[in-house]
Amino acid sequence: MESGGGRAVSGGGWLPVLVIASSLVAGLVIFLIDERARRLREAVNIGAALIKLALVAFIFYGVVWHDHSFDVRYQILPGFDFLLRVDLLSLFFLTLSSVLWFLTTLYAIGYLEGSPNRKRFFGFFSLCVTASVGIALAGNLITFFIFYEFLTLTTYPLVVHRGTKKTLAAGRTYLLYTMPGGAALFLGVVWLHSLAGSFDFGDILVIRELAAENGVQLTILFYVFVLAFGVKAALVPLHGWLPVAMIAPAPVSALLHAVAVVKAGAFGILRLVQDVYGVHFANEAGLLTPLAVLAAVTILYGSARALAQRDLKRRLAYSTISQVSYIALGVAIFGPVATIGSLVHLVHQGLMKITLFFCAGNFAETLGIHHIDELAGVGRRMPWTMAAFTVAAFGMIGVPPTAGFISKWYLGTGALSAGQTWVVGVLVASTLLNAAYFLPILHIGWFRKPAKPWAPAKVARFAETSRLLLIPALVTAALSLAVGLFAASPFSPLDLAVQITERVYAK
Amino acid sequence: MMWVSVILLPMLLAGFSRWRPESPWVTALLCGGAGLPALALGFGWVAPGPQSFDGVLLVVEFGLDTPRRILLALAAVLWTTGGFFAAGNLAGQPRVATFRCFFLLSMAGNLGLILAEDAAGFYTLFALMTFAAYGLVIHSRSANALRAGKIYLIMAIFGELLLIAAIYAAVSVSGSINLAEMAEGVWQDEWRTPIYALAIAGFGVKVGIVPLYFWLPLAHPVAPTPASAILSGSMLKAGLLGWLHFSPVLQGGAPGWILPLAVLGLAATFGAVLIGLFQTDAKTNLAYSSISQMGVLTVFFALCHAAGAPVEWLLPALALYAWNHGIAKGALFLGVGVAQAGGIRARPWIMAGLALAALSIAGLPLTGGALTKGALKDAVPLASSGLADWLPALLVASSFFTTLLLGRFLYLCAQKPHETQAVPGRPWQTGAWLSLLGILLVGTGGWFMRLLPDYPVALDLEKAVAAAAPILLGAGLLFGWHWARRAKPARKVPVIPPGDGVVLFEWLGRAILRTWRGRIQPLLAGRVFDVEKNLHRLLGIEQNALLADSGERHLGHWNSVGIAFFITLLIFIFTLRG
Repeated sequence: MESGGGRAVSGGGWLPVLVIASSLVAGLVIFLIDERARRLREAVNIGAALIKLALVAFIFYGVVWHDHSFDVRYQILPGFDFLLRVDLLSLFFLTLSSVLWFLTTLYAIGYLEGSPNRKRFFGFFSLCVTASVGIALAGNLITFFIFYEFLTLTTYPLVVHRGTKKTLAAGRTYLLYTMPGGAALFLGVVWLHSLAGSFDFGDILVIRELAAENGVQLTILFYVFVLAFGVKAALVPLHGWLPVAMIAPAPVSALLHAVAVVKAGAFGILRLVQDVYGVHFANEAGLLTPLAVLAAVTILYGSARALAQRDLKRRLAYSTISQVSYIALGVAIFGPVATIGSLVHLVHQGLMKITLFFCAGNFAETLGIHHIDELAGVGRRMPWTMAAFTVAAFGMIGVPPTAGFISKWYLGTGALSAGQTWVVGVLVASTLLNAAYFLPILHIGWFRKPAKPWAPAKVARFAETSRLLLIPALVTAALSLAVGLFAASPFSPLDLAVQITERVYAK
Repeated sequence: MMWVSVILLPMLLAGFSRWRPESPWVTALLCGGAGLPALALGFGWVAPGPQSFDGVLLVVEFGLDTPRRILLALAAVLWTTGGFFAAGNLAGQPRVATFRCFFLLSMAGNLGLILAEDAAGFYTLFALMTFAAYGLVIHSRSANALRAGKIYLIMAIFGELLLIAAIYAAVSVSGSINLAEMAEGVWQDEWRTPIYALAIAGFGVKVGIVPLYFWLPLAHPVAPTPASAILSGSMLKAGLLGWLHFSPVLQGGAPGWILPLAVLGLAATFGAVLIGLFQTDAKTNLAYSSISQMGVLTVFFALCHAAGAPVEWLLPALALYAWNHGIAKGALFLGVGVAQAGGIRARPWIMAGLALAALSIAGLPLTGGALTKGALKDAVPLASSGLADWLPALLVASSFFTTLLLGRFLYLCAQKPHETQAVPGRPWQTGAWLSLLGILLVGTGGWFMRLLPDYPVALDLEKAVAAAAPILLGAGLLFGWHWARRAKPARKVPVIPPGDGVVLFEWLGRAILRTWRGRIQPLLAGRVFDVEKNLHRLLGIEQNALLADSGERHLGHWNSVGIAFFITLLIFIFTLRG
């Protein structure tokens, strides 16, 4: 382990810093730009997102083709290192968040057109992405903690953006959940540090050596971490903030549910099991089964609640609770195949869910639709949006060849290879529930007649809605189809997930 | 390229669905032309070697063997003639573009799944066929169609779920997604029985085995005529193909479910006829006939697994039986459409054509039905199974019962009030129907000459009499009965509702839905007891949240917070540097 001051760089250490800086600086600049300077703000926003994409592409190329490693290490205090490191798993999350950030930026520009306080919104929007990129790049628990908390604080202004009484109450609820979650994480980090000292993600021997003397403490600690990450990952019963927070503007919900907050929790659980405790140790110590059961309960509970909702965004919110837990479920099943399913779902769920929220936002913005019954006949009025929604909904159900099919395939076969037959029961039940709450939406949207004629289109000809709202949804829908249809291609999410898993199980 | 074009061409053409919906020529071009690559492959005009596509799904593999080539030819013929028929059938109707789109997508799935040799590809195309066919079932948007669509979809999803569980299990025990290796792996695994049960039930929904056939008699009458023809003629066979892929038939395995499956097949063969006889709608009658015929196929599929069964003979024979039934059933369905559109003068000819197709299914000597039944019969003595003894009797009895059922069908068609004014697009329909009849006349014999050049096709008088007897008996009985009841008015309402047992399930479903709407949904929606809200109240979060608007209504200061954040972080990073 490298401690000591200064930096330990194995080539291109400035790249992770630049990736973080690209959105951090953009955030600052946006705060300094005048509210009315719309063009300039948009240019900064999109420019930063493009720069980040280019940087990530460069890192991707280095890591995947040349097996290059990037890390930057500073000592904060003796024994406390600030470490940014690119391994395959961080690359995975990094790519997801930078691609979706770019698309969500475009969407948000379209969505908030003409509304007040855009400066504040886009400023925090950039900071929020900085935080999620930081979480991806964090190389040890302390760095992870810093960005994890940073994320909590930067998303709050986004959730309460509209400033109404309801959104403020939702924001308060959000903080009342995530703050104790952060405190639990702090407790865990400090506790583990007092036991093991500072160590990096991937140094899993540290825990194994401790196990002989501190078995009980390590078990308790594991669940303290699960609790801390579980708040953001919306594991039952820590999920209460998520349905409340969906009151935020659509791009925020999209980001919250697909990349930023919920994913940060799931990503934390992945790191915890794979890079802190190590899968082999976690399995031998019997830590995984309770986590698997918790995830399974969450999956079924979320789906059942989703089925009962008649508000589109609320239904989607409960669906997120259910879908994100596939990640926790997969990682809690000991066996490489299920782990692949879990990892790949990190990306797949992001693509599909962001599409659904983009589309829900389009319906609400263009036609004022919030309730599922109001969707009747919307397929004729907004065929492209509805088509994107359909692809993503099929993906959530797991209909081939969409992304969700691949995730469920690996989770299902993986659970059986690991001898966990009950998981297939959970998957089948969840698929049934998914079908039961998504297919009626599709039927209503495509086949039912509208109750009253639609308001005339604002823009003539083909534009069913603003282009900035439509294109991101189409792109993510196409991506959620492509990553499933071409799952076995090199450098697909599945391919990377397989590589990550090989390394995890080789340790 | 050839393999892919079978799937991609229909999908590509689906993109042109909205092009000139009023023109039957365009419909014919799109829906009739899309099956061309499949026709070429099915009839062996081109014969590329097996090919795999590494990057697609989880490696997609394509290939064909003789039984599947026959099924592909069958599917291609039905989809193509169905497409041409649709050009006339839909002329001047609303929603043509929608129909074209679902038709072509479902076609891509149906044709493609026959080629697929890997589990993921097969399942994908199977699902594409199934889900796209929903759009065909509910095409008319009538209350009946929506009801049929709902039941179709529920049962299809039920089937898909069983199927995916079976596939997960099969893939994980065999460690392969190649269908042949998968079947071998499952056969050698101790968990094979539950896996077989899941697969048989999962595909059984499509095959229409007892008791999973309810959707069939509901969906067939409401779907547009070409769609019902394809549903019965080709899509049901996809389920049979799924069984073949899963079963240990090529491993020579004799699983324990031969007898139970054969019993289910028997129940379908005869039960469906009994219920079908009480139907008053011609297309419902045909649907029950399909269930009955799939029952025969089920029994012989079970026989394939008996020790000593000549598999290399039985499987093509089974496929040819499916071919003959598929083409003839297609001709019957299209004939219903032709009879509805046709004028008075053409009527005797139409009835003659229908009778020909019906007799071919029943197995009158000189028809394809007699040939294929004969081929199945020849295989029976070789198999050492308790089944084998009474299988010839089954075929004879099936001929008799089929004659009754399809005789009733002809009677129902003759009863139909017919329109005298010209229907637009009639030439398309008549043309498609006549081509299908032509293929029926020469097709089965053609396959025999090609695949089994030494097979004695020549007429054996003794066999011919034996084959004709049950049909003549059935026909005699029908005429006698009809003559005895000639004075009584015809029934308008069926004694047994179409879909028979489904009525019970619908009652159950309504009861569940009532409970759901009345009790469970309000509970889960949080209207009675909101778990989260109460948790929040308990923890004081609720109150805290309501206090929120005290100081925060003016969020202006958040801008400065943002800048402060940045500066803190900047300072943080720079101090770290030092």
